[in-house]
Amino acid sequence: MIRLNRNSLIAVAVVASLGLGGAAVAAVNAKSVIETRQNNFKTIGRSMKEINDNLRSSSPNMAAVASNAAVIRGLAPRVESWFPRGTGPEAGVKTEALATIWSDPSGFAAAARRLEPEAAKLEALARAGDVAGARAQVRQVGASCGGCHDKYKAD
Amino acid sequence: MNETPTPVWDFPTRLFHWSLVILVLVAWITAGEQMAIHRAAGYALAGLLAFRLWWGLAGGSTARFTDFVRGPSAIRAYLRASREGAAEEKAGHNPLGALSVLAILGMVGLQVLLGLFSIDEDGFEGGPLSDRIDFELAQQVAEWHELSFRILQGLIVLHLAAVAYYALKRREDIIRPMITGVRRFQGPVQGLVRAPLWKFLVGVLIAIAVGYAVSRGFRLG
Repeated sequence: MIRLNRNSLIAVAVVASLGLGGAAVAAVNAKSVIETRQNNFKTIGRSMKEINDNLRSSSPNMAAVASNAAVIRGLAPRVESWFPRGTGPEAGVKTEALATIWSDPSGFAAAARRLEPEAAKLEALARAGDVAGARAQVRQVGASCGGCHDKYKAD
Repeated sequence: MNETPTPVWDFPTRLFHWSLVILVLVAWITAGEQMAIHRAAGYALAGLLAFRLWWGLAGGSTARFTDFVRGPSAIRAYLRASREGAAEEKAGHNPLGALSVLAILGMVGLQVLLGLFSIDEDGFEGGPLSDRIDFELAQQVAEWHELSFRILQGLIVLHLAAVAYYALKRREDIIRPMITGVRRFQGPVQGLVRAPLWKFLVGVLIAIAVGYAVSRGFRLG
């Protein structure tokens, strides 16, 4: 029979509260990681819209296209780092990140890494003032968003 | 039983009805997937609604709003009469069905309108007026676009339930008349009065013009 004296009870209580506290800290972290991630993707979406709005007009502002492509190009290499373990559906925070991100890390990495080179190409075309080229290339940028979202994001 | 075949729906009204069915289905199936087709379905629906508004003013008698849009007291009277089995036979929409017509037309219109301003989360696929508002608002509108489709789906379910009610409880097939244009009544009923062909052609032109203008986000020339 296990005998619990006062000291061991205190020890158990301390360990348990540390565990709970740790879980709470992890939850707070997951929440802030997810919020930051969502804000970053919104920045990408906002830039993408600016690019599309311009390219759809008859006289696009190519400087604006280039600067927004640069925003996407700058954020793209960081995408993988926005998905630390514990920030998926299990975090208990509203997120559309699917568990496949962590069960298929190499597939996810490959899909995420498609964005940067496509955005860089768009930026270069826009800086060169190539409207037709930029209009074609923006589809590739969009496809790299969709390529990742199809497999690794809900909806 | 003395059943008299009576014309109730003219060809343009039937064409409108089944085009609406097909386009709503196409828009539903392609939503979020085949966005080029989804947008095209939306533009076609805008043209189709414009046609229906024209036909509601200038079309065959049973398609005209003045023929079937009734106030609350007329609807109550109709419900009372039909509960007693004394509702007058009539070619065209009954006062209660008229509400369904207006609700579905209104919701399809709202659906198209919201779609024009919507954008997807990638900022990539958007309606022709999405560039007039910022990303956050266009995303919000896209959520309303989804929500209003749920309401439209509810209205369609109600409509199908009414059709099933006619078939099962009242033993009346109201699907066939929407295909053939002809319905059998127990007694003589004033049938449809058709509109001339040129009014239909004007309606087709209106539909094409509106569909095109909407597809361009009203930026013409």
